[in-house]
Amino acid sequence: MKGRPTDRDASAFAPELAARLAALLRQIDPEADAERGVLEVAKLLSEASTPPLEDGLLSVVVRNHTTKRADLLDEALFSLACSDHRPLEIVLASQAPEMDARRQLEELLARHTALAEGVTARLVHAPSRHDERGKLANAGIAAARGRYLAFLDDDDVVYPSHHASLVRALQDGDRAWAVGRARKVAITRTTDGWYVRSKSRWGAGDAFDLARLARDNHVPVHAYVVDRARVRGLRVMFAEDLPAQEDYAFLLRLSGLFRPTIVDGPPGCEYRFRDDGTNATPHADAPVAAQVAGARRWSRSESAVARARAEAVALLSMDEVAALSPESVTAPAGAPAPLRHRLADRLNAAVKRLPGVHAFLKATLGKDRR
Amino acid sequence: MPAPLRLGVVLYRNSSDELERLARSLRAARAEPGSPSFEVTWLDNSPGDGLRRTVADLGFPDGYAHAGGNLGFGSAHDRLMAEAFADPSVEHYVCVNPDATLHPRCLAELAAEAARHARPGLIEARQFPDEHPKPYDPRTHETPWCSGCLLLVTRALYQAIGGFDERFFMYCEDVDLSWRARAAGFTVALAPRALVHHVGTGRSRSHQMELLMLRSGVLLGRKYGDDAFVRECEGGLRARGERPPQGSGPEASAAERAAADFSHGFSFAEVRW
Repeated sequence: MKGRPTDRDASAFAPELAARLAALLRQIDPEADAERGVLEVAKLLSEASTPPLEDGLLSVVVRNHTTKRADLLDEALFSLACSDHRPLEIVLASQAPEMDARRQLEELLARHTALAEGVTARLVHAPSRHDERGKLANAGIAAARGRYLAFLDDDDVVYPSHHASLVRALQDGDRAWAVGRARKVAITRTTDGWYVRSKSRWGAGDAFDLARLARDNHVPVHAYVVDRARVRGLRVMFAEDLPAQEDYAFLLRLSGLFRPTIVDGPPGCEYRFRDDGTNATPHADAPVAAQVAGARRWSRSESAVARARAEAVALLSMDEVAALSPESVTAPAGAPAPLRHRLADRLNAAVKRLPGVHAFLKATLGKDRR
Repeated sequence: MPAPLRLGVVLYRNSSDELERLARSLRAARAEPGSPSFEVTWLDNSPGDGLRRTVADLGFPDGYAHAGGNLGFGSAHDRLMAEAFADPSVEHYVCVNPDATLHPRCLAELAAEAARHARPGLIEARQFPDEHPKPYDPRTHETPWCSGCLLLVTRALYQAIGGFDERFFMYCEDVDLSWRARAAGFTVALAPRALVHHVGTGRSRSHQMELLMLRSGVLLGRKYGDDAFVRECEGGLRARGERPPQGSGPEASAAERAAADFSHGFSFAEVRW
C-alpha cells in the first residue's frame, strides 16, 4: 500500500504545467529553487484543499437520475459488489425525483453491499426533475472518502478485475490516473429486461493519445481511476453548466494536466447503448425524436467542449503537437486564456490566500539558497 | 420444511475467498422476498476434506460430503442429483459453480422461468456481466444449449434422460445434456432476469484446461458422429503432445444428432458477437 505522495510523484505532472508553475515561482523569488518549489506548492495545496483521503480505498461515484432505471442500476451495483478491489466504497449520487426514491435506492445498496465484505455504500440524494449530471458527479466526489476515485453511470457495468488492475497500475507507477479498455455494447429493451445484441472492443489504444482524445471522446467515464493524492490541490470537478459531455470536458482537463498510464489487457468495462433513446450520447440506434433531442443537448455543450479541447491542446508535448491535426489546435473565438495560464493564476491567488503559505514558501526557498 | 430446490456445488481446491462470496450470495438469496426455499449440498472432489471446515464456517454445517477423489464435474453432479431427486419434495436440482456469485433474485427468477414453460428441462441463469455470446430467443428464451455454471435441471428431465454423461470429465457435458434434452422434447432456455456473476467467457485457459476441453471435444464429436470436429480436437491434442482418448463411434440418435451443431467450434452455436 502506498503512502502519501512523494517527490517522485512530481513526474506525474504534465511537463508544460510543471514548467509554468516553476516560472510562477521565479516571479515570486527570482533566485528560488523553482523545481523544489513546485513540489512544495503542490504539497501545500494538497494539504490545504483536499479532504483526508483513505489510502487504498476506491470510491466509485455512481450517477443515477431516476428510479425508472432501477433495473439497470441494480446491474451496475451488482457488478461493483463483485469487483475484486477491496476496500471499495459505492457513492450513489442520485437526483431521482420519484416518491419513495430514497427508500428504493437504500434497499438496492443494502442488497448489494450484503454480497461482499469490504464493500460499503453511501447515498447522496438530491431530488431534481432537471438533468443535474455535473452537479451529481460533484456531489458524489465531495462525499467520496477514497484516495482512488472512479465513476460509473447507472446503466453501465464493470468486470471484476477492472478496478483492481487500474489501482495496481497506479500503485506500481507514478501517474495520476490509469485507463483500461472498454467494450461498446448494444442492448435492447424487451418484456424480460435487456437483451444484448452485440459487443465490440472500444477505447484507448496501446499508448495514450491526447491528440485523438481532442478529436473524439473514446474514453468512457468508467474506464479510468484517478489517484486523488496525485492530482494534488487541483480539484476533481465536473462542469455543472453543461447539458452533455460534462465527462468529456472533465477528461480533457485531466488529460491536459496529467498523462495517464494505459493498462493493457482485455476490456474491463462495458459502455452500454440502449435503443430506446435514453443515452446521453446520441447514436444511430435511437428513435429519431430521441436523436434530435440528444443532438440539441449536445450542441449546447459544444462550445464549452471546444474550449476544453483548446486547453488540452495547449498542454500537449512537442511530440504530441507533431501528431496533431491542424483543426484540433484552433481555439474558438472568445476562448479564455489557455488552462495552464489560468491554472497558474489560480494557483498564485490560492497561495496568497492561504494563511502563512506565501511566507512559508518564500522562507523555504530562501533556506534552500542558504 | 421441504425445499423444492436442491442446490449442488462441486468443489475442487477452492479458495476460502471464493467460497465466502458464494456463501454470502446464497444467504442473500435466501433472505430475498419471493425466493423459493432451497437446500445446499456440497461434494468435494479435492484430494482431502479440508474444505469441510470452510463450508461449515461459512454457515453451511450440513450437506458437505467428500467424494474420495476427483470424480469430474458431471459425475459429481450426477451423484448429488441422484440424492436430490430421491427426495420426493425436490422439484428441481440446480448446479452451482463454486466461483459464481448469485444475484439475490437469481433463484426466484430461475424458478419463475421454469414455471413459464410447458415442458421445462434445463434452465440456465444469465452469466453476468459478460454473458456467453451464444444466442437465445428474446421472446421465448429458448437457447441451443445451456451452460452448467448455474443450471436448473427439472425432475421430469432427469427421470426421462438422466443426468450428465459421466464419460466427460469436464467441459462439453452441459452441451451434450442440452442436445439430449432438446431431442427428447424438453425446453432448454435461458432465464434473462436470473443473473449469476461469473467470469467465463474470454478468460484465459490454462494448458490443463485446454487439454480437458479438447478431450471432451473428441468424445462429443465421436458421440454425435462429427468427424471433422473430432479431427480438429485430436489435432489440438497432438499439437500439445497429448494422445487423443480411446472411444467408440457414433451412438447418438437421429433426433440427438439433429439437435447438435458443430459448425461453430466450441461455441456450438452461432454467436452474437
